[in-house]
Amino acid sequence: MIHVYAFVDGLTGLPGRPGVEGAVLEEIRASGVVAVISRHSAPASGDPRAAAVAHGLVVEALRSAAESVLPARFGESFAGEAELGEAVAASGERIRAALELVRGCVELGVRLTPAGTVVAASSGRAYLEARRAQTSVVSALDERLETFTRAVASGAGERVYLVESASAPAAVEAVHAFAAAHPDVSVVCTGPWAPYSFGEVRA
Amino acid sequence: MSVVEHRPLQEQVTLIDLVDRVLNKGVTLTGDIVLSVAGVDLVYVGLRVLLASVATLDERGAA
Repeated sequence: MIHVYAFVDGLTGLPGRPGVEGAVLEEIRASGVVAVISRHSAPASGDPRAAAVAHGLVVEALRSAAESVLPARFGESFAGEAELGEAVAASGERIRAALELVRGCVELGVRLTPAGTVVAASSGRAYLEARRAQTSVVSALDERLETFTRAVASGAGERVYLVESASAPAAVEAVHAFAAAHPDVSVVCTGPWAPYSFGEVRA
Repeated sequence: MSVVEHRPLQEQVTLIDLVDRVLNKGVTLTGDIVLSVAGVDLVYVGLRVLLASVATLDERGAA
């Protein structure tokens, strides 16, 4: 079986670390796209948490080894190179477009929780007011990070900003400045991460 | 259930965020992804579901 970690462009060398369950990393070309993979004789049978962490650490290591890194979701596996090639061919245009979008970029995740947010609002008005407060805070953060942002995504209570790697420290500082200016808002910033959230290219 | 209960808070946040990204984000080619643990298929619909499932399996294995 082939386990896929990421699709890459401009790879200068494979990370010097093992893959899932200690497997050796390889780069292969599938339908014109370079993938970083490892080969396994059987489906992973060990601790899935350790496997997920190993997958993630390989992807993060690729950030400093390639110009463009498009992480694959954990669990993307194929019987062989032919099957991987067929799957990539079917999505080749999407993958190449996403690789261009994320070239030279990382993502920052920011979770915002305004104080007094009513999670289980007791009334429709309370719910709408909480939603309005959340939207207002998100818009303010978007504005603060606008100069750094190449693309933005949302999901699972997190706002995710795609920024150029060189700008990431300044973008993190901007988030910290935002937090200092909004003491009534809980701000949690994580990253920089490989750009996991931009596999689907949006206009 | 806590995965890293003996580690500092910042490290917990980082590790949980990393695993959350690995399981819930990233480009997909094959649609639904199913992994098997101890012969039981788990569909990764979220980190909490995965952890709960593994915890349950651990308890059953220890029983």
